[in-house]
Amino acid sequence: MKILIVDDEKDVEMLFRQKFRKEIKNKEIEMVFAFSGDEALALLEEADPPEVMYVFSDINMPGMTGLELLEKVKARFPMINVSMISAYGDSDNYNRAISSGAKEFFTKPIDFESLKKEISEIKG
Amino acid sequence: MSEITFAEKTILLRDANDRFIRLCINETNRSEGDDLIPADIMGYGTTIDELITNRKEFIQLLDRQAEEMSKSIVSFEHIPVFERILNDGDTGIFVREILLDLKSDDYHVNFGIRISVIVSLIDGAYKVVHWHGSAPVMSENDTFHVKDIQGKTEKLEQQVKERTAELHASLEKLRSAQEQLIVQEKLASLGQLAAGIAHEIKNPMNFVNNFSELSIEYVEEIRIELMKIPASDQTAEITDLLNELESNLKKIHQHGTRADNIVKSMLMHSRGGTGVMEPTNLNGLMSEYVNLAFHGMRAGKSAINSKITLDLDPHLPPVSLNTEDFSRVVLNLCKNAFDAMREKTLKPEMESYLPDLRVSTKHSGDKVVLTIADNGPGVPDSIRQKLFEPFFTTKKGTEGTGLGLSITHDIIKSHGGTIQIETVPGEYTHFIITLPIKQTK
Repeated sequence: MKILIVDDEKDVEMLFRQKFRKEIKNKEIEMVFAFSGDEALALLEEADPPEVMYVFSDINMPGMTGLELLEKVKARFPMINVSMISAYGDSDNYNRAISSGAKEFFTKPIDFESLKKEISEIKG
Repeated sequence: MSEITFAEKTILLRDANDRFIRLCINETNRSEGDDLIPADIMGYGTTIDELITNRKEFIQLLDRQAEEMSKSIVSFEHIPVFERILNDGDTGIFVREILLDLKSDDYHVNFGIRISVIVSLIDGAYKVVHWHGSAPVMSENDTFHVKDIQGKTEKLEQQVKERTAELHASLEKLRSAQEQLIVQEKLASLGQLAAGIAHEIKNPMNFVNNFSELSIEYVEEIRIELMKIPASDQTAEITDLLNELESNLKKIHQHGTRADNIVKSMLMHSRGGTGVMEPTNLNGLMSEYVNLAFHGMRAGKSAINSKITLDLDPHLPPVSLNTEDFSRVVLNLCKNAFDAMREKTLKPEMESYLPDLRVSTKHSGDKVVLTIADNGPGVPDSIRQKLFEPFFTTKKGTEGTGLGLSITHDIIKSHGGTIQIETVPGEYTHFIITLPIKQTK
């Protein structure tokens, strides 16, 4: 299963690759990374239908925000799951994300246990 | 007229005097005076400008008096003092005292006037040729009014003193309000700055925590791999190093988490504006959260035995509150009280000390006064000023973020209220919160 992580912080890639080291090594999941909303959309459009099944996106990013990306992804690829990961777990962000079709809302610092659980449920 | 007797003349003279007095105090119609007042009437009124030399001036004086009296309710009492009939009943001298009582919305005056009147038979009618009115000064043995003036001066001096004292008091109030404003401004700008920094620090802090956590997991995995190699001096050395490495990583994680907690408090602090102010049963909120704070403390690492006394005003109206924020105020202040009282229990000479937390609410006009009082060690003067500053803490090492009271202060301020501290070192600390019952926005 291919997962796309979107965050403007580049070290997120290193963190996720290490956290999911076993799953990636065992080829249970494949991870791709984008560092902006535009980059994420371009990556999704590379293949038709897109190979990515799940997008996890940060909200506060320069340029396109995670919430804008969520709306665009949901409009173009309704079959792709999108969940938000944000340091700002306030009710405004949460409500907007859920009403725009986000599957889950994770707050930073990321609880990787619940993230792994979420991924395995989708995989299941 | 020659056939009129002396007795009859006396009656007519008295009648003329009577009519004149009633005219002066506006008891009768002005036309009554037509044949009573001669063209060249001469008299003195009670004030310096009341020197009358003819009928026209007299009428003007009456008009002015009528104007003055029209604003008040007037009542009189006449007291005859002296009477002398002369010239076979053609002339009479009458002296009377008149006690006046003038009442209006603005004043109430009791006033005595002495009036001497000379009535004489002129051209076949009894007329007032002269009168003199005077008002006695309100002090005894004071012929030349010296005491009266002294008294007035003293009264004025007294009034000046009182006014000066009032001005001093309001100046003091103004000064302390200004000082409070400066402190609040300082706190507010610090709070904003802190919130801005908190946002920027949160992400790098997350990386520190995540990567240290991850590395701790890796150390564990290395240990597992190491078990698969036959034991030797080298593997023992590697295990030792791994243990050191792991404890260092745990330290990084522990302090990172501590920093993260500070940042979280600061973010919550600045979150602002999301909660809603709504009429709240403050007594209910108080008992719920005092109870919660107590059980939180009892469940914690260093529980103490504390008495809890709630004294809640049963006549408290609903208070406009952001309950989410305000419950933090209650929790913070209770937690501080328990922490402070615990410090006191640890002192060896305090064996018989019994911690006691008293919480009260009181309705006072358009405000409610809320007191959270402990009998802990109190706050020394040296740190009282710093108490509400962000990051100021007396708690050792990692126990406090130094934000509790700063956040408390800001939340109360956002409710339009104030928080004050009353404390005696070694005896008690009282936090007194005053909140408006209705928010005015």
